[in-house]
Amino acid sequence: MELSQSHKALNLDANASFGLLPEVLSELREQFPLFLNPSSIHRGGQAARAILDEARSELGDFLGLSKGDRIVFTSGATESNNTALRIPFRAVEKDNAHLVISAVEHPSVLEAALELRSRGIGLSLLRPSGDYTLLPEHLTELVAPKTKLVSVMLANNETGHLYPIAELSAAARNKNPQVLLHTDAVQALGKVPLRFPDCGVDLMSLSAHKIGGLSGIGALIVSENVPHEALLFGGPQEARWRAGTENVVGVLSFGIAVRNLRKSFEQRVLLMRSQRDMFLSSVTSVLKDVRVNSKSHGLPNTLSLTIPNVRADDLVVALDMEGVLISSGAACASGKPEPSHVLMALGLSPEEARSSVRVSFTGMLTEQELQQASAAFTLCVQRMRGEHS
Amino acid sequence: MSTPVGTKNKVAVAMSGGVDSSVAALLLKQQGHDLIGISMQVWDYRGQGGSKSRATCCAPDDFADARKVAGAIDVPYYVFDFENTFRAQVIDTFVSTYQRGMTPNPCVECNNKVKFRELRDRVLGFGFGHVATGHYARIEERSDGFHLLRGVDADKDQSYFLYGLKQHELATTFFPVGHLTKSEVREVARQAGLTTAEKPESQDICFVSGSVQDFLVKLGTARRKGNIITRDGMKIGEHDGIHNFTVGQRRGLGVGGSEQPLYVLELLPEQNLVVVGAKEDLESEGFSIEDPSWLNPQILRGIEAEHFPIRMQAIAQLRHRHAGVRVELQIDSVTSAKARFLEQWATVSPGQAAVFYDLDNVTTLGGGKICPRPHPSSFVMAAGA
Repeated sequence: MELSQSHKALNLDANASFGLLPEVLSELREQFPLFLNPSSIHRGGQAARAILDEARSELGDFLGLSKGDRIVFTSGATESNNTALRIPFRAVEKDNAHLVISAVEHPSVLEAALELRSRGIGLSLLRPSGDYTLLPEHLTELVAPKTKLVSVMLANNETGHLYPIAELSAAARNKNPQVLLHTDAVQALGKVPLRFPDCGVDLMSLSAHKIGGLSGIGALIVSENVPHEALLFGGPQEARWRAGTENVVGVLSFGIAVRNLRKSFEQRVLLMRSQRDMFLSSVTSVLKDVRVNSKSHGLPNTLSLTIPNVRADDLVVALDMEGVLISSGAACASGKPEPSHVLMALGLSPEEARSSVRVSFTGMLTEQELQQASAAFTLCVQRMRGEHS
Repeated sequence: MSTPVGTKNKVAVAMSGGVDSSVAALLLKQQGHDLIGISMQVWDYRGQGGSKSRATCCAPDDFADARKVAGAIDVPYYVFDFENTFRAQVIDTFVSTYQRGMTPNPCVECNNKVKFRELRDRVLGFGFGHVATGHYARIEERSDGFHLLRGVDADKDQSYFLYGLKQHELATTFFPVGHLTKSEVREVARQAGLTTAEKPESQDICFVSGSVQDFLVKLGTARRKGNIITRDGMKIGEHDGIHNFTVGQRRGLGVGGSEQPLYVLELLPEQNLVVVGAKEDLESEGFSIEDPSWLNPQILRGIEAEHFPIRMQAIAQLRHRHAGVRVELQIDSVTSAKARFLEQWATVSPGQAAVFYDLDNVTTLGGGKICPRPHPSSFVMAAGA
């Protein structure tokens, strides 16, 4: 399939990927000759290292990091999440270690946690309460003296729900002052104000392609008191937190995307929110039985919709054929027949979960494109229900 | 279906990743239709430890092939999940048929219930009114309706598996490779540079990657040892489960010491017995069928007008790759029909499909599932005999 076909399509799947920002691409082209190995002593290496330094500083400023906090560039949020979950558990005795995660984490946290459990580490899940939030009181009950790490995402990728990370961290530390806190902030970056010191965590995972950088590049923010850990061994890159020649192109794209975000953050959020709200009101004015699984206080760009009597997988295909891109469940999970564990944790039945789609906005659609998208959504649903010729 | 030149249809092509469906898609694309390619995920290979056998179909590698071909011919491609339907309509029927002492035909169930029914319903939901596959069969529209014909390549003909299609389904189905031979199909693929041109065919049942016995046991069918007996009730051997046998089977019985070759005459699931005998004992005058499905327009009109019994001579094909024998076909009602051998008898395996063709042995009339023989009292033995 020609690329042009996907370019003409309307990206209502921002949470899967924002799409490379044009200015990232043009600046990458300009700086191209500098992409040598940052570890080299010669000027080629120095220039590459300067690129890393600048991006690191850009991201550090944006997040409000203090001097002791470290940015480790990784191959993406999955690697960041896996590294974070490894940190306290390398050399523990089985039965003397415990981990708490939420029940609505991304698979890269959930699967890493399940793998630890299979090796004898205790695991507890913090489940959403009735109004879809995670309560500090519940977390307090789960945290024990043996708990080494608590990992709770800041914003949910499927529903957009925001969780009270500062309160959750405080509650966990109150119960066990030794526990480490990690948050997967991948979906929060670029959509809500995000400052590392305000979260009260020791570790934070981020990803570049959710804000318009390249995919294959992410970061793990590590605060000063976190003991050293690594997934990859070899050279001393990233202060020995992550061996391997740094992905200079990727890091550069991350830095440019963050800089772009800084310049236009409020406007971007405003556009995301207004486009999402207009889409929703347009669709629900015709399709009266569509249910919204996202609370209004959540990510400004995300909608989780349950459409009765419609297979979500088929709707995604139908909309693709109209040039509108959405997803059913998290992008990583698509293609598997199991219904979303996030939606089921919120109390949806398997059938409801299989009829649920995620629509997430970049905020970059034109007015005409937005109308086109909501019209296509409505039409496809009606056609699939046999209500339209 | 002979498409009038210039008619553009929206067609969903079922793509297995094999060369036949690849070429089917290519030909339709060249004819100017609006296409999407769809692979049907019917079986979760991950749960079965992956499919290492190249003899199976629709494993993840096959989807990769289908995707490559779709990309090469510029057709949008998707994988649809059909696991639930497939399990309920095909796999459960497969297992229960064996448990009832018969030999199932899962490809028929899949065609009837999954490929040409559910797939069609789902793609209709986004405006695609036609379905196409890489089957070797032909559809012809004549003055009285649609007809299903054998594929031109007699060796590859798959019309046998398609007897369950209805008129309205024939009207909206394409079999683009039915008028080609297999080697012509491969040649077309080669010329077009399709990666699947030389891909070997899947030989086995698509969801069984080992022996059928192992598959059934894995799904919970117990290995029940029992006796092999003659028609007189004399025990002459033991078996490991009646699902290991098919009526008419001669090899693999594990009994020796008989002057003449022994054949499986009957499987008695309730008593867990395999009854064997001489070839003559296998002979029968004919057989009945259940769950019939007719596609010949004349027959359909007769049934609608309730002009029973409907009688005609036909060629009966009793299993895949069976040459066919002449029978007198008698349709007694909407739900029952029977056939009487006219020239020679043939081995009849309950559970298999019997498909009837016109005396030209090209035009399909319809078919049904072969019923078990009602057995004379000498077969009925006390349990544990």
